Amino acid sequence: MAQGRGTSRRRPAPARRRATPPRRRPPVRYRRRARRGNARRRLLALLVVSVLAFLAISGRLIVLQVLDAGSLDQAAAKQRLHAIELPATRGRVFDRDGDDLALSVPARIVYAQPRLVRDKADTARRLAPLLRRSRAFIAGRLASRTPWVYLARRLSVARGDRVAALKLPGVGVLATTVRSYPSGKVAAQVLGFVGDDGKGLAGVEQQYDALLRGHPGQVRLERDPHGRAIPQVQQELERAVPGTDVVLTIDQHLQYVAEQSLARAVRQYHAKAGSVLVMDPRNGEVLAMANLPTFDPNRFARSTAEGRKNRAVTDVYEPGSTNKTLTAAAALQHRVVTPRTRVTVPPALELCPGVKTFHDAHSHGTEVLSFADVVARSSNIGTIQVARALGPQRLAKAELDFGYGRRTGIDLPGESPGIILPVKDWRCTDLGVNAIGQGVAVTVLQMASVYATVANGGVLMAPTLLRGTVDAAGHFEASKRRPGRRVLSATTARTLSRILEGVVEEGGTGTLAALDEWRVAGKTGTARKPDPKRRGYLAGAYVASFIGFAPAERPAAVVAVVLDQPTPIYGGVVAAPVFREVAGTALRRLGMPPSLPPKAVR
Amino acid sequence: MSYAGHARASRPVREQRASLRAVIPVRRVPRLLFLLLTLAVMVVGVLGLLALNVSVNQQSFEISRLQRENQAAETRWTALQAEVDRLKAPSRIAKAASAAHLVPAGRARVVAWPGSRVRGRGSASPGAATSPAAPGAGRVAGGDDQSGWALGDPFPLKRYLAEP
Repeated sequence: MAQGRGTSRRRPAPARRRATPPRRRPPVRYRRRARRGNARRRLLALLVVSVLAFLAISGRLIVLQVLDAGSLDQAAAKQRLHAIELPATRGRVFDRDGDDLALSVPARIVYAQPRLVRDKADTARRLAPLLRRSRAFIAGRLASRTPWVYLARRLSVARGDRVAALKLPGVGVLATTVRSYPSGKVAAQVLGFVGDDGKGLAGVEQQYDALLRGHPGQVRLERDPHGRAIPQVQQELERAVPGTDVVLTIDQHLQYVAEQSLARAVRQYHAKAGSVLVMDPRNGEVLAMANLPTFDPNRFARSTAEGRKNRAVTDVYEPGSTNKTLTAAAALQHRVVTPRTRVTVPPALELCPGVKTFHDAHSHGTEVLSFADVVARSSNIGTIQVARALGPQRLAKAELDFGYGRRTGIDLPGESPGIILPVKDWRCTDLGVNAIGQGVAVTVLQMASVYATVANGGVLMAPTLLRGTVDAAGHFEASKRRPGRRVLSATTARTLSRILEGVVEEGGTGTLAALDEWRVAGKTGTARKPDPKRRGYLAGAYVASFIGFAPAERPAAVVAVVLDQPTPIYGGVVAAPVFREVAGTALRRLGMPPSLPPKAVR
Repeated sequence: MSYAGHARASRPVREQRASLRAVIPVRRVPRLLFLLLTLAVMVVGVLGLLALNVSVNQQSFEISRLQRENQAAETRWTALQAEVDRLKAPSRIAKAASAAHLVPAGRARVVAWPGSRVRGRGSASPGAATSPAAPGAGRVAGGDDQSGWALGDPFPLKRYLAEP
């Protein structure tokens, strides 16, 4: 329908046919003016948003990179870095000749995770010969409900590697080190043992734990999320410092002889326990320290408390007649007697009338003995007579001078100071009982020190087990020794030594302790055992002992032998032979020339 | 073309004579050479780094291998040392000696032939000081002078027996 100018609404004209369609004009498009203001605004808005976004990101970057950098870096490092402790090798323990008494050796731990073990019976069968355990034992462990069980903890490296080579599912092998005591039970109580955490728990292992354990090291390295170490990244390594080696004064061969001799005596005389101690009186070095019962430090888990006890330093006993040496020393020192002083010895002595009557071991009539004979025959009455002349003050002081009532300071844990009664608390009978060694309690080490003092010319040397240390570079450093303390004059010591030689000569109580090649000085002891539950003594229970030194003219070894409740009860019978064997071995090992001419065989 | 463009298009186009001037031809660096050179430097650099990396890794593997060998040698040495100590244990020696019907060395004996007589003083035999059994073996009866004896090493047995 055509649209013309001045179009008005009227009835449309009838349609006419045209020859050509009218040329159409393109529709008029209204050109809008470009809204420059709107575009600018949009750009500005976009700019503002971009700037804001940029500022937000920058701000966050500053917070992350500057403000929180330290803590985030630490957190990342903590996640990435792992510190692995490098255990330090524990130091070795040597005897005085440089033979190993204790050392750490590599070993393997075999463990199992029972839930991961598929065929338990087959696994037990294959492991049994390598672990040297029965199949039943291993199968029992594998049947456990715990997630982790040990199958073997001290396996040799070779066997452990063979177990690992089997690649059994659920069975693993870990590397470890274990403490080994190659000589077994020799010097067990002296050495002590080490727990599973590598800490010394008894004996020298405990006493010198700080020296022996060294300082563990550390390596810090980066690991990926799977736990694998990332190579070629910086690693911080702090090397472990190995422990210092310790050289003891113990002679392990002499120690073995002492232990064997003691074991035979304990077995033969049905004793409950026993101790043997060998000391060098010139410097206080302990050459051997044997105790029974004993234990194997390689298997300390199976040991008993009695076996682990180093009774030579921890247990006290009443020394009996061996204490008469101290009474004699005090009497000679204060010139109360001389060896030839005549002492009247009645058959009985009432020190405190109506309270206690003292007797000798063997009944006799009234005798007149020299003081030397009083000691040689171990007369209780004769000794008490001398003690009365000495007086309680001087006798008590002598006990203190010789170290009674306080620790010797030997480098072993758990040493007992002994038990003495202060003189102000002494009652009427205490003078007598102290003089003959029944009112005082001492350790075997303390008694050995008394005789070592006499043997060393009157100078008391502090006993020690440490000869020196060896550092990681192999340098030996001798241990510092405490200075000696003079207790007796040299003359008194020499005189007393001559008197004590009479004990082992004919007529004395310790003839079984005599050596063929060397002169021996010593004293027997047979002391009643106190009742631990009440006052008084156990019926029929005695402690037998012999303590002496040789060669008497130039002492090189002090040997103390103590047997607990032997049968027979006399020290001269049961302990003296042990002294003879141990002292003879000690002097031979020391290379001491004989003091007596050898008997010719014709 | 927009409507405004149509309007402009209807106007006569004036010819504009562009001013031309001679331009000195610029000598350009050949692009291909530069590209090749850059590529070569990059390739050489990358290969060089790779080679260095491989070398470093090889060295670290070698170091690890030597460390493992060292560790194994140390383990073996310690195990052997423990074995030596076990063999030197007094109990084992005593047992082996007993099995071989040996007895501990006892005291010295002097054998005097019938009609013989001891003369003079004895002196220490060279081995006496080191023998655990008979330190007085060089001595004869009657001699009491001990000034010739020197204690020396208190445990000469150590020197007497060779170290394993």
